[in-house]
Amino acid sequence: MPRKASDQYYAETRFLFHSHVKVKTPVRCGEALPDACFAILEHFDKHYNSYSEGSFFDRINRRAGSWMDADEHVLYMLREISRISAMTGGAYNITLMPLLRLWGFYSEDESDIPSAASLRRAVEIIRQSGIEIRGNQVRIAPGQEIITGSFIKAYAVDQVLLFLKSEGVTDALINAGGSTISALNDDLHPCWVVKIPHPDGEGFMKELPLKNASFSLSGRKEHFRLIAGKAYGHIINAATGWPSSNLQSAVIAGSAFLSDVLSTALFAVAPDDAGEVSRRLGEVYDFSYYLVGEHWQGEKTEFIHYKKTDNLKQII
Amino acid sequence: MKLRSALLYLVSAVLFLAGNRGLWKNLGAEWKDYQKMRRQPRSVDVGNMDFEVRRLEYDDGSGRLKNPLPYFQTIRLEKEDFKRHRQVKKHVESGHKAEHASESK
Repeated sequence: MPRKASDQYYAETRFLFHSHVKVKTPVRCGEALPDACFAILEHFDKHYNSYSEGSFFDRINRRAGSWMDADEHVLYMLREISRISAMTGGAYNITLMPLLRLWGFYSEDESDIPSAASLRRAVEIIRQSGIEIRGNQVRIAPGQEIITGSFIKAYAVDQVLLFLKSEGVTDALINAGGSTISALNDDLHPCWVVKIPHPDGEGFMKELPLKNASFSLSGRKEHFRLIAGKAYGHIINAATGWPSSNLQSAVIAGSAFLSDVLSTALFAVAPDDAGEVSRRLGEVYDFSYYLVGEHWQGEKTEFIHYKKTDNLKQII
Repeated sequence: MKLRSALLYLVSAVLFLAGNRGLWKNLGAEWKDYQKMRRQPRSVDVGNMDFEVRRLEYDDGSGRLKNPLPYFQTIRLEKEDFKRHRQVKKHVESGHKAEHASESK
């Protein structure tokens, strides 16, 4: 009897990582499978999210200046992030919580543009030393604070994908808050479709076929502070201390962790530096991306594809 | 006539019981086996065990039944919400609808 593509899926959404996470698995794989997936996501939300009290990153933050024990997940994430951060010239930095507070992202009060001196001080605190790793221990400098928002739920999604593959599942979708979407596909269902919102307006800009890959989107249309009538986005260039002026970045990569980190990292860099930074990243990672700058006039956006194996830049 | 019939019936019954010596012999042997079996210690057959019965005492003061044995207490369940324990049915989606992306949180 010939195999047929799945047409019915269990689709369950739960609130995790401060966002709605949706898991979609074929009905034929059983009703228990989504629960097992959410158990993994809940584990990472509880034990790794910097906002979860007592998590690895929460403890590192609370004991800034001291060496703290970490496990293999924390060490892997921090090593990769440190490498990517260096390639962006420090524009992408996960210890930038002092800057976010300075710009009023964790306050209900009206905020002003921070003074040049306070911005300079915050940037100095963030840049004074990177995240230090010694054996299985991690240390950040006093005043620094790691924020896991740009990578932790994507890393958890990767763990779910590993689990699904180990269970023999070849057709599934995980939508982590809309900002990271991961697809598993087989020859019977060759791709999922992702609708990408318009960077600066209503509706959708394009539909993207996604096949055995992860897609991440960063932008400032929905998350910004309005200061003196001007919108400042929540993704800050940690090298300058100023919110990025870009409108939208999108990345497709083999892992959700990589697509999420790279989309934030490329969004954070100055538009003039994006080409050079992406070239550097392309020497190490396989990914596709586009970046929409603030002067975008509605031109067609194309993904630029980097393949580290032949270091060939293609436009697809 | 009736008396004669009754006497004949009685005589036939006596002849049947007195003449069937094997019957008494077999009944005697079975009785001995039964008595022997009763004297032997019985192995515990859990499958055939009777239910354990606990006797509840009525408390006039509170108007409730009380169990004097601490390991078998009466639990009142009328406030339990059993609907809470019912497994939530998973939502089933058909087809391959496009997934909406949104900007990072």
